Amino acid sequence: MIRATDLSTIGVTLEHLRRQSVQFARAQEQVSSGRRVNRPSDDPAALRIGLRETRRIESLDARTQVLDQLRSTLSHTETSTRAAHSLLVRVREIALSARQSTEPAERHVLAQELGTLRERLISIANSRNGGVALYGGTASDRLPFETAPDGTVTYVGSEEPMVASSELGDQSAVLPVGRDVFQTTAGTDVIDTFAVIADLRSTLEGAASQPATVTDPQFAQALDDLEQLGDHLLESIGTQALALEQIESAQSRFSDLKLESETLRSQALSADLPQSIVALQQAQTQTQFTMAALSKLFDTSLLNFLS
Amino acid sequence: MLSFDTSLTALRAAQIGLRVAANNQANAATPGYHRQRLHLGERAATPVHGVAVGTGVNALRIDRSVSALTQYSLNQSISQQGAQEASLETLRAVEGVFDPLSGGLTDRVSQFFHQLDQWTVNPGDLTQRRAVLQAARQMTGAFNQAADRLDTIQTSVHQEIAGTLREVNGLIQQVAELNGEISTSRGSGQEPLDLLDRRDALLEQLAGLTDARVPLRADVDDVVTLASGAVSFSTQPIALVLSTNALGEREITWKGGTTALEFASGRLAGLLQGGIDRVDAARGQLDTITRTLAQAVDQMHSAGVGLSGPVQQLTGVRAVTAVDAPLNQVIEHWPLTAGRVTIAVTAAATGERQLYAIDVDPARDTLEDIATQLSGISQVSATIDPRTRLLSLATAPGFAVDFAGGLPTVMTPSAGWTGTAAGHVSGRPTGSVNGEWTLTVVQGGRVGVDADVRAEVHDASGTLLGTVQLGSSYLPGKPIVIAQGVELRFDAGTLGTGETSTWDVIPTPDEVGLWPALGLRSFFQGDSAGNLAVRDDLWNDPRQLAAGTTARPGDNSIARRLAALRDAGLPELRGQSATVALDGLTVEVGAETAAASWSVDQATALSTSLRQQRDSVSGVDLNEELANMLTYQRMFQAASRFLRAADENLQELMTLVR
Repeated sequence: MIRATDLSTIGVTLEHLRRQSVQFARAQEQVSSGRRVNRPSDDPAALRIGLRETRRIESLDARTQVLDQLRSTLSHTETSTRAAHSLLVRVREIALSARQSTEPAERHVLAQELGTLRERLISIANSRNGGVALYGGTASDRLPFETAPDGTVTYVGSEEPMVASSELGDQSAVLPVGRDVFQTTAGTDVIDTFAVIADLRSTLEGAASQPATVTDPQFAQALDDLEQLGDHLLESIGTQALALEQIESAQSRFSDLKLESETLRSQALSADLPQSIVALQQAQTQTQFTMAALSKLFDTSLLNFLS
Repeated sequence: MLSFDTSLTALRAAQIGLRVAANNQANAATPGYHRQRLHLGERAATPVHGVAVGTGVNALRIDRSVSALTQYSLNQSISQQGAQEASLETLRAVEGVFDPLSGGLTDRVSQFFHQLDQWTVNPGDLTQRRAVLQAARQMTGAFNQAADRLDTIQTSVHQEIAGTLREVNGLIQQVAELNGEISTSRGSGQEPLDLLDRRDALLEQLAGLTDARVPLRADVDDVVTLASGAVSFSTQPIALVLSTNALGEREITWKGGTTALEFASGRLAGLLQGGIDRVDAARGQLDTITRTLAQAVDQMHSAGVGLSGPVQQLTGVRAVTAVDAPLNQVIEHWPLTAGRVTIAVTAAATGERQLYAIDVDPARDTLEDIATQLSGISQVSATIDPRTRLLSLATAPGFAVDFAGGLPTVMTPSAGWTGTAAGHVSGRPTGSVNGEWTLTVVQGGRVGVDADVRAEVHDASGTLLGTVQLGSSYLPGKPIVIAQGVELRFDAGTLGTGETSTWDVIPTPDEVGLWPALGLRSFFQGDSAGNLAVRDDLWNDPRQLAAGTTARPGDNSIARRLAALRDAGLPELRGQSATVALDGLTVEVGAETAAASWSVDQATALSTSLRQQRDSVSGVDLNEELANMLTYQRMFQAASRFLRAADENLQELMTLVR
C-alpha cells in the first residue's frame, strides 16, 4: 500500500500548481497578444506555415509596390505616346490642308503651326517622370533627343530598353528606346518623325516658289510617311497599353494571393480568442481548486484530535 | 524483583520509541531524511517455578526506511531531468535569437530584398541606392548581432560548465569524506543513519549534475561511478577538470587522466551536448546561410558596373592566408572551381572595350600566380600587399577595367581580312556558356548595296547560330539580332567572301568565383555572420553600387538578379532561398525546444512520481508518528502502572512479615 506522507502530498500538489500556472500564463499570453504562437517552440509546425505565408506576403507586397511604380512610369509613357500620336494626327491634317492650300498666308500659318507641333513633339520625346527620361532606354539620366543648331534632331539615348522583371510575362520595356518609338523603317529607308515634319515645313514654306509637279510628290511622300509613323506610334501605344493591362492583371492576382496567404497565416498563428478565453477560464478555475485543496490538506490530521 | 525488571525494560523501550517518533516528527520536512524505525525484540524467558516467564522487551536497533531500487531509479530520473533542463535552457536562449515573431534577423533580410525590388525600378536613383545600402547594413548588423548573441550564449554555457564542475568537485569531496566517516562508524559497530541520509542527499544532488550512480550491489554501497562508469571513487575523491583538446574543443577529463569523459546524463551532459554542441550547430548554420547569401550577392555584384563606369583602381577586401600557396588552401569558406575569368579593359578615349581571359586552377594557382597572369593583360597591373595579403588591380592612365564580361565592342578580323566595312557587336548575352563566335562572310560585296551579301555566325562548337543578310535590304549601322541576345551591325563598306571575324561572348565572366572570394567589386566584406558588413567604399559612394552591367542609370540587369535572390534556391542551402533557410533554422530550433520542453515535462513527472514512491517508503507521515507516540506513551503508562501494582503486592507481603 502506498503511504501518503505530508511531504509527498505537498510536493505533488505544488507540482500540479506549477503546471497549472504555466497553462494559465500561456492562455493569458494568447488572449493578451492575440497570437496562438508566441515563440517558435509553441507550435513549430504552425510556425512553419506562418513563416512560409509571411514570406509570400512580403514577396507579393514588394512586387505589388514595384508594379505600382512601373504602372506609374508606363502610364506616363503611354499618355505621352498618345499625346505624340494626337500631334502627329494634327500634323497629317496640316499636310492635307497644305497640299490643297494656294494661299501663301495660309501656308505660312500652317508652317508656323508645324514648327510649334514639332517643338511639342520633341518636348514629348524628351519627357521625364521623376527625373527619368521616358524614351531614353537605359540611358535614363539625360534627354534622349538632342536638337542641333540647324534644327536636326538626333537620338542620343540608349539602344537598350529598361525592362521590368518577369511579372509581366515577357520582359516589357518600362523605358523604351526613343528611336524605336519615333522612328520607323520602310525597307532600307528610315522614317524619322522630326525629320519628316521638318521636311514638310520646308516644302510648305517653299511651295510658293515651286511648281505643283515638285511639291505634290513631296506632300504625298510626307502624308505617306506620317501615316506610317502614326501606325507605328499606335503600335507602341498598343504595346504599352498591353503592358499596363498585364500590370493591373498581375496586381489583381497578387491581391488575391495575398488574401489567401493572410488567411492561412492567420489560421496558423492567430489565437482562436473564444477558445483561448475558455482555456484561460479553465486554467484559472483549476488553479483555484488546487489551491483550495492544498489549504484543506491537513484539516483531517490526527493532530487536530489529540487536543 | 523480576516484575520490576520487566517493567523497567518496557519503560526504557517506550522512552526510546518516543524519542524515535519525536525525531521523525522533527525531521518531517528535512530534505533527504529517511524516517527511522525502532525494532523491538522480546527478551528471553526465565523459568519461574518450572514455568518460563517472559522478562520484558529489548530495543534491538533503529534503522532507516529505504528502498534502494526506488532511490536508484530516482537518481537516474533526476540525472535525465538535469540533462534535459540544461539543454532546454540553452535551446530557449538560442530560440530567442531566431524568434521571427519579435522581428530581428528575418525582418532585416526581407527588408534588404524589399529595397532591392524597389531598386530595380529606380536603378540610377541615388536615394534608392542609399536605401539599398542602409537595408544591407541593417541586415549585416542583424547577422552580426545574432552571431554575437550566439557567442554570448556559448560563453555563458562555458561559464556554466565551469561553475557546475566546481559544484560537482565539491560534492565529490563531501561524498568521499562521508564515505570515510561511514566506514569508520561501521567499523565501530554503529550504523550512522544521519551520515547515510546526508550522503544520499549529496548523491541526489550529484546525480542532477552528472550521471553519478551507486551500483546496486549487496556487498558495497560506497562506490560512486561517473561518466558511464569510466571513473569511480569511494573514500578518495577525484577532481574533474575542463581542458581544451588538440582540436581546440573543450572537454572534461579527471585530474590524472587523459581520456575525455562522456557524461550520459546530468546537467553537465546537457550543457555539453545540448548546450555547446547545439549552439555550435546553430552558429554554423547561421554562418552557412550568411556566407551563401553573401557569396550569391557578391558574385552577381562583382559582374556589374557602377554609375561611374569601369574603374582604374580596385582593391580586394578579403585576404588569403598565404600568397604562395594554392588558392583552395588559402581561401577559407569560399568555394572556387577551375575555370576562366574574364576582364574587360576599356579605352577612355575611344570607348573600345576588349575582353581578356585568364585560366585559373585553384588547386594549382597561388595568388601570386593570379597577380602575374593579371599583370600580363595589356594596360593592367596587379599587386599584392605583403602585409594585408590583399590583391589590387590598377590600369594605365586612360584605361579602366570591369568584370562584367558580355561582349567586346569590336570584332577581331582574321588575318587576311580585306573588307572595309567595320563590324560591331552589341547586346547582352543571355546564354550560359562562354565561347568565341565566328562570323564567316558567305557572299561578299558592298554592305547595304549589293544583292545577297550575307554572312553566317557560328558558336565555339561550330553550331550555326544564324545567317545575316547584309545586302541591299540592309541599312548599314542597323543592329541585327543573331542569337542569345547578341546583335551585330556593319558600317558601310565591303566584305570579302570567305573572310572571317571573331569575338568573345562571355555571359559568365567569372567561372571560378575568384572576384567575390578576393573581395574585388564585392558588395560585402567579411565572410561569416559575425563579421559580414557592407563594403566601406560602397557605403561612402553609392554610385559604385552596380545595378547593371553598364554604367547607364537605367540598366537594372544586376539589380533584377539580386532582387530575384529573394526566392531563388541556392545549392549550398539545399535548394532553399536564404530567407527560407533562415525560417527553417528558426523552425528547427523551435521544434527542438518544444521536444526538449516535452522531455523535461516527462522527466519531471517521472521524478515526481519516483519521489512520491520514495516518500511513501522513507517519508514521515505525521499521523503515523503521532499514532506511534500514543502507542509508546500508553506503553510507558502501562509499565508505570505495573510497577505500582508490583509495589503494592510487595507492600502486602511486607505487612504479612510484620
